[in-house]
Amino acid sequence: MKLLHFADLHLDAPFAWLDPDAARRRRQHRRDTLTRILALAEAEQVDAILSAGDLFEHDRVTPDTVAFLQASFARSTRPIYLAPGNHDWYGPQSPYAVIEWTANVHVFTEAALRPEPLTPDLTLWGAAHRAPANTDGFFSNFRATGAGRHLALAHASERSWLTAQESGKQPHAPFDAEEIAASGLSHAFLGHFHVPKDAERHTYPGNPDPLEFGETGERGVVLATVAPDGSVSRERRPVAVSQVHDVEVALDGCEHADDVRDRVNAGIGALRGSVRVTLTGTVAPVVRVDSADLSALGGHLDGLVIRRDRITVGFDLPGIAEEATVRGQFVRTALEIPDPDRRRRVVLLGLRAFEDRADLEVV
Amino acid sequence: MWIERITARSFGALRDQTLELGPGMNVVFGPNEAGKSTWHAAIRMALTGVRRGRGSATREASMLEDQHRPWDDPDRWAVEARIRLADRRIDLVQDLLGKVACRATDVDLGVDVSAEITRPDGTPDASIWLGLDRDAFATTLSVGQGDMLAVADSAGALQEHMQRAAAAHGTDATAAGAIERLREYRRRAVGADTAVAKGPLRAAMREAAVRDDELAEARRRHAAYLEHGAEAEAAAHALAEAERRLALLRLGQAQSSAAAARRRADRAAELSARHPIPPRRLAARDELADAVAGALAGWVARPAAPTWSTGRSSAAIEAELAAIPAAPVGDVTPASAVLAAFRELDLAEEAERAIRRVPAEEAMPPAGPAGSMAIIAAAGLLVAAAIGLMAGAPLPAIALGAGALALIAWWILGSRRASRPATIRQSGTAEDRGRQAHERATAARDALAERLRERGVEPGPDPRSAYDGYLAACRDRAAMADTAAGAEALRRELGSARAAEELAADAARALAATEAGLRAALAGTDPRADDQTPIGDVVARLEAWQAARADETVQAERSIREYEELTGLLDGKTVADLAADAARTEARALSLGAAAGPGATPLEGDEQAAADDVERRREAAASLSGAMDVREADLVDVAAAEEMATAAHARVEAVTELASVIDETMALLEAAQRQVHRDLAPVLATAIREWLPTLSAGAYVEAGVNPADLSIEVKEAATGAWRQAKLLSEGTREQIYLLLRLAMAQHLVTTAESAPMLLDEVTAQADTDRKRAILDMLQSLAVERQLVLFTHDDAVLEWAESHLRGESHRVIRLPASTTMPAGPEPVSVAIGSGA
Repeated sequence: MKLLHFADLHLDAPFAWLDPDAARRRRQHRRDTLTRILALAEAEQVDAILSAGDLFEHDRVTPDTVAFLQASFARSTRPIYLAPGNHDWYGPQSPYAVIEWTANVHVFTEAALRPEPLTPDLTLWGAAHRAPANTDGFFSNFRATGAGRHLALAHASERSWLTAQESGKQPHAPFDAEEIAASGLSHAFLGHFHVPKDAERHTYPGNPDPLEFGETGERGVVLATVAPDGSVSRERRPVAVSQVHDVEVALDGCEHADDVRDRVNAGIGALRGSVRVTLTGTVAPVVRVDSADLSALGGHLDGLVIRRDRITVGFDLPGIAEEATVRGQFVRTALEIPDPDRRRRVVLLGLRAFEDRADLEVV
Repeated sequence: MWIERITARSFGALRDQTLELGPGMNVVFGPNEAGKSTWHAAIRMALTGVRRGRGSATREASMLEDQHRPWDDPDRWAVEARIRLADRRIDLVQDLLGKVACRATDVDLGVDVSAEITRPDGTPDASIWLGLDRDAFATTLSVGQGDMLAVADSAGALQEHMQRAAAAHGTDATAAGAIERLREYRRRAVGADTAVAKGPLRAAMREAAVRDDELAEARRRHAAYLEHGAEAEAAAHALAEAERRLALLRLGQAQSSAAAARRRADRAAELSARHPIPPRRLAARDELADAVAGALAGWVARPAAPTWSTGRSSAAIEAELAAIPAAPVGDVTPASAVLAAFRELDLAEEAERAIRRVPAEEAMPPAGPAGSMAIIAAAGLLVAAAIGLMAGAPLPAIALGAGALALIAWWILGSRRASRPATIRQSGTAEDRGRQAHERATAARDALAERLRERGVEPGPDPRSAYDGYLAACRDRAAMADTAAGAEALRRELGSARAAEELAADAARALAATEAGLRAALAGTDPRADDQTPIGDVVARLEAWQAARADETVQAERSIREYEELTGLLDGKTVADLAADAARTEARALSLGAAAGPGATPLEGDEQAAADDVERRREAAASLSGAMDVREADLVDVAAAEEMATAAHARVEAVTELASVIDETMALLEAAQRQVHRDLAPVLATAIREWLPTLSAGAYVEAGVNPADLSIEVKEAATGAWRQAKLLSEGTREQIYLLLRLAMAQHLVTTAESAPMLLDEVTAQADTDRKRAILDMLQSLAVERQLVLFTHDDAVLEWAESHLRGESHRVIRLPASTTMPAGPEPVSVAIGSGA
């Protein structure tokens, strides 16, 4: 039994940090990613496709996306099992309920695990979120019944891993890892955590197409082979369409704004997709680092984000703080501001004001 | 700190020249172009070096560096110095070009102490030992001719200079200026936060509000779309259900129709095979069958054969009746009047006999025999009744017998009751009583005779005998009457016998007629039948004939009915047509069944109502679907709206945050200004106060500095009034300025070191007296710090040479020109004993 497991595609989710056109392209990339996933399922001749929730975003899903899903799944020759998550929760208005899915699509609609036989000896238990929040755990007090081996498909939060998630995930449908085995399940194919994880008895594939900068881990889909004894072997495959890059550009030694532009250009010139440039290093107070100017360098990209908060401006703050002047007094008190970013901004703004500089803006 | 010497290795026009300085007041004299400014710059750069990399912190520093690059040696730009700190001597080497071979060395220990004064850019800066930096060194420890000119020219310059000096090392800015720049920046980058404002903050807020509205509208439309989608789906589902129901109804009806058509076709085929031609119709009336039925009905209704119980014929009875005598004439039972008369006679005669036995008889118990008889009679009555009952006698007879006995008993008792009064009444004589009794007896005999006559009996002389004869005659007649009564019964029997005999005769006649009818009927059914056939067989044969005829009739009727049914079934069609119809309807049913899917259960019901329901639901679904299309077309991309709104709010947040940062920065600057001015004001006031009486020739005796703006006031000695320092004379202001700069310098130096001061032509604008006053003051101040005064003024040189005494002071004459490399060394003269 060979299964393709994916989750957290988040069709129609917004990208607040991108301009409208780029955001639209990124949303299209996610659709393209689903097309890749379905094509991979055909190529690999998997026995079933498992979607562990957050396939789309209920509050944002467009009719076009709904039609796309319906047509894409209809074209697939594979059985497709859908377990709604907290973003695509199941309800009477849900596309899950409204769409007339083709016969190869099975939607789990109950807030408790329900069986669906994959083979006479293998049962897939699936459950749905029926509200956007406050869904109880699916595995506590659950016991798989019937002969053969049992698998599960759900959108759920493994408690011990909550803190490891980069985006502060809420504990939707929480569970403890040991509940899987205690429930009589051989393995649980899950969604919700975007960071991939291969645990002994459960799997998080991670979001198949990048959603944010700084995502780590081998995200994509999981090709899972289920042995007769219920054990699962996994192979991860990348399917992302979007390219997302995190680039650090050191500005040490830059003597003017052109130097800064050159450094940033060198850092992003060969890249495509969305790029986040984090500027680092120490620049002289006279060097102008303008976000708007630098953002214009990303015309060939889907999106360019410039972070300046890690630049150190070359003021001798300890020395200035020693001064018996107003400036020294100002720096001494400003350095007591607890929030580092706020402190940086106030100090730089004040010092630049003393110098009568045009580039007072500190971001 | 003080500077022992400066060596310009390659600096401007200077090359390998050294300037030796003393710890007190140093006057460096030279005409124009002698290199005073170059030495001034060399001192600064020897101590502080220059910033690594392009660009400088200030425009002034940048200009200064450009001015003093080596004129003829672009590969080397270096200057050295030896300085004295409170506890050690330091040699400084500044590689101004490469910024590499820079170092600071403790002369006595030979230790590299560069690390103590290395700036973040890697270059050493000795101003660190004073708590200053490169730029601050220039602005704090250097007073130029321009500063003095400004103070002299502008009354307000003095305060501004103080503010600037107090504001920041190395800049020309004042704190107030910085705050004002921030305020302007805030106006430009944030703007006011009022409803009518048009600045960035309000513009961002307005845009955010618009984006929020757009997002809310997008969400509203999206929610409506989802809701409508659910409704459309429900309507579509309901339509599908209705269509399904209609299909199942049609399937049910099709199957029923198919079954009916099949039954019709099969039946028609069956009837058609059975009746290829129309069956013969029955005669309107079957007379023979009617005759048979009538004969059999007569047979069934024939009279029963007469039966008799006695077995006697009427003739026998008539013979017996003829032998019975006629009924007697006379009483068959004694008449009661006769009986009563006899009892009266009997009583009268008893009474007569009784009177004749008196008195002996009177002693006898009265009515003994009579009472006994009465009792016996009563007992006899009961016994007779009982016997009568037991013997089964009819109740009237028993009653009659009992009545007779009761009468007898009553009579006996009554006699006794009647005789008693007579006896009592016979209270007269016995004779009387005897006569009366005799009379009574006589009358009784007469009465009895009369009664007997009345019954046709001649009493004769002895009525008693006549009476007995009468009783015997009655008994005889009674016997005769009984015999006569038997004749009546025979007559009734005779009547019955005759009636029975008539009935029997009638029955025999009827039976004969019936049998004749049967035989006639049989002859009708079977001409060969003869009259000898027993009537039972006749009946049986007729019944068999009738049964066969009935079967024949039923069959004929059935055939007719079936043919009529066939005609109805065909209804103008042929059997083949019906079979084709059946096949067609069966095919349709199969087709509908296949469309309904396996396991579909056909329904029964009103197809039209179901079809109407489907139509209604189809219209509703189409309406919702149409509305859905409109809503879909009306949708706004929620994600895009969110992105726009988020971006707009990010702008608001950014501007708000910027405003907050600016506000906090300004607040901190204002607080810092207040704090520093508050600290500085007394320092400055003290510095002025010490010298003010001398400098003003006693005109002013007190000085004060306002911490708010560092404005200076002086107290007039004559009047005691406070005046603004800016109103003082130029000379006084210059001197006060120098005092303040020195005080400020020492205040701004944050270490224990004294701060050397570089003074460039600070007396240039002063007249002779003021010049002397300044120089005197500087000499006094030079006790506590090193002063280096650059001047081209001969008067100053003259003053120096006449006033500066001791090892700590120097008067240095620069050569006329420094344009030649490795030119003559400056002449440094230590003014002291032997100098």
